[in-house]
Amino acid sequence: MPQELHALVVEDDADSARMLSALVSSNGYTASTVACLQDARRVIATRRPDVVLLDLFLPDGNGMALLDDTHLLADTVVVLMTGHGSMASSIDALRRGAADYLVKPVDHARLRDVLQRRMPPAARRLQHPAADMVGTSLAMQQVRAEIDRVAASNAPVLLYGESGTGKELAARGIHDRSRRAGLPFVPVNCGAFPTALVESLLFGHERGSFTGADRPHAGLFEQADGGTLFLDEFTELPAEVQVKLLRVLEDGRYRRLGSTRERHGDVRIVAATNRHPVDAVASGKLLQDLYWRVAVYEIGLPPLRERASDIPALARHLASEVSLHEGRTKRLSPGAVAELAGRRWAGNVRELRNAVYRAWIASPGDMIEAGSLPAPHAWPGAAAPAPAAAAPAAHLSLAEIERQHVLATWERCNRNREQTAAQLGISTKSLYNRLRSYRS
Amino acid sequence: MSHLPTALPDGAIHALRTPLAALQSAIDVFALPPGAQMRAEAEDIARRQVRRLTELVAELDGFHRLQQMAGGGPGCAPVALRLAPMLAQAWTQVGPRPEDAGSAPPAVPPSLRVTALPEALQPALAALLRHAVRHGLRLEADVRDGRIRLRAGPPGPQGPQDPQAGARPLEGGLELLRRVARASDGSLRLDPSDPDGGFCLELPLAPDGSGIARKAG
Repeated sequence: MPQELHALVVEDDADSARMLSALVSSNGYTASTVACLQDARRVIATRRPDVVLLDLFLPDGNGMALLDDTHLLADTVVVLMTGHGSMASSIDALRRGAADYLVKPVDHARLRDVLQRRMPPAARRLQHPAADMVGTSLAMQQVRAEIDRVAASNAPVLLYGESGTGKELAARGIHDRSRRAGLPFVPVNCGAFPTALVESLLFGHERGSFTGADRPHAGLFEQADGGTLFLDEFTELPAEVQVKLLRVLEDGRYRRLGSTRERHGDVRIVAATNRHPVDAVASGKLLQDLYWRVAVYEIGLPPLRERASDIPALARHLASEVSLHEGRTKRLSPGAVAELAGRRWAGNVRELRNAVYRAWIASPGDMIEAGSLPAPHAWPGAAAPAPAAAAPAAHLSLAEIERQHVLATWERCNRNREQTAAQLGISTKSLYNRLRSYRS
Repeated sequence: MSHLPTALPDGAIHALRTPLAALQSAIDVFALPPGAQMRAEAEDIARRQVRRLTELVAELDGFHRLQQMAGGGPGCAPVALRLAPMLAQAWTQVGPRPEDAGSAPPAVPPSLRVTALPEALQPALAALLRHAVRHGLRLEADVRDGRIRLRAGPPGPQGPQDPQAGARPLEGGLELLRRVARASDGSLRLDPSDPDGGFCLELPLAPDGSGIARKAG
């Protein structure tokens, strides 16, 4: 049940690929492009697309060969792009597992039809992914307000929050509410990049720039031109790549690997991390300069335990999504909702979604009872409930009491700088200075 | 000249469909909600594809003229043509980008003439220059033994040329070049040692005293 749909365009003509990618993006998908079979296999292995738009004539072989990689393409819909002269091939492709075909030149109305048909019903209903950010808690209201505020600008945004708190959903929400909506939204998980290829994947490369680079390749910055590049887990990027990223953020200029030609891109960066940025800087995972560049606007995504009041609505919403996806309606019983609301969710919405999905599968009837829910996970090292506030020990100095109070508020506010500073009645700069002095 | 193939190259339809497809998609992108950056890019792409289609149509016309010539059609006989201005015009058509500034058309003596069909030779020369620019090849001209050799390849010594290359299919423009060369008792030989697609075009010079760009028949 993907949160957003991704299409891979496999097309060796760069102009066609670029325009098809823009058309695909305008239909609610994220899109990326590759020019040959070898790159297609590599990219699919890194991030499995929901749909592959596959050209037949590729420089390193017939596109049909990709259909034989059944393991690689599990759960992926392949749509062939072909000319009239290749109708025999199209029929063969359909026999070999392609779901559909488009005749070149591709008609946009037909492309839209094909993409819409390939969307799960839930995705068709939720064309605006940020609408999926269910919850009326104060924390979620604040997140939505911040997304709306920052979307109108071009400022880089830093999203932070634990795994499963919806960072990609928030990034997509920013993109969709911005004037870049309809242009590419390219999400990438920097943690999944092979170290040796990270620079080439981000900035592209020229032919012959390294062994195996037998053709020029447009990097993710080029693919996202005009739109938004979502760099998830960006603190996992090697330091030397962070330095290059710094430069792109500075003036939009970058070079492909092996090229002396400077390119200029108009790309909005939304970066995300599940580490707290200040910790990431302190531990050397994130260059401080890059932090200042990216964190023009920071949004902290609250963990589910901080917005427990949202769990009932969220659980019902997820059950309804699963029902749409599976084509059969099952509802959560009040008992099951109460059980879910009483649990701690270390894996946040992702863990809750899995629990609801498993219960949906385990329930024979139309009602999901508490008995169908999977047993709660006992996570090692899961945070214990916050102790009740106690009077400070008499022997503590005023500075130590202040330190403890600042840190406790910091944790209570889910390490949200603005929120913490507001509660303490100090500026965010003062808060930052205090946190830094505590660490040193 | 009865050995000349009469059919269009196999890839002609595919070659036409590729820019048509990109053009169609660029037009569709125009219809999307406003996005200045993407519209500008779509406009660039549309212009580029229209130019590519024009080149392809010129190449197909070249093939058609060669077929007419092979069949003895009226008004289709080779004439003596000055090569230098045709290369200069082809260079203008190729329209090298600023980053191709290092490239240059090969220098040939202004008076040098070859015998060919102008409607076929002009798009064939444009294809030659386009291929060289795209692959970063250096073009060199060499006149000896009554023939001109235009070599496109990386700087340095020329590798052995493939005697079997005559049978290998080439992309449309280069195929036209090969057929133009054959029709003039010349040749187009590939350099198998060059992964960039280097080759050597050889054309006999027009006999002294030929008219300049004066169509026969």
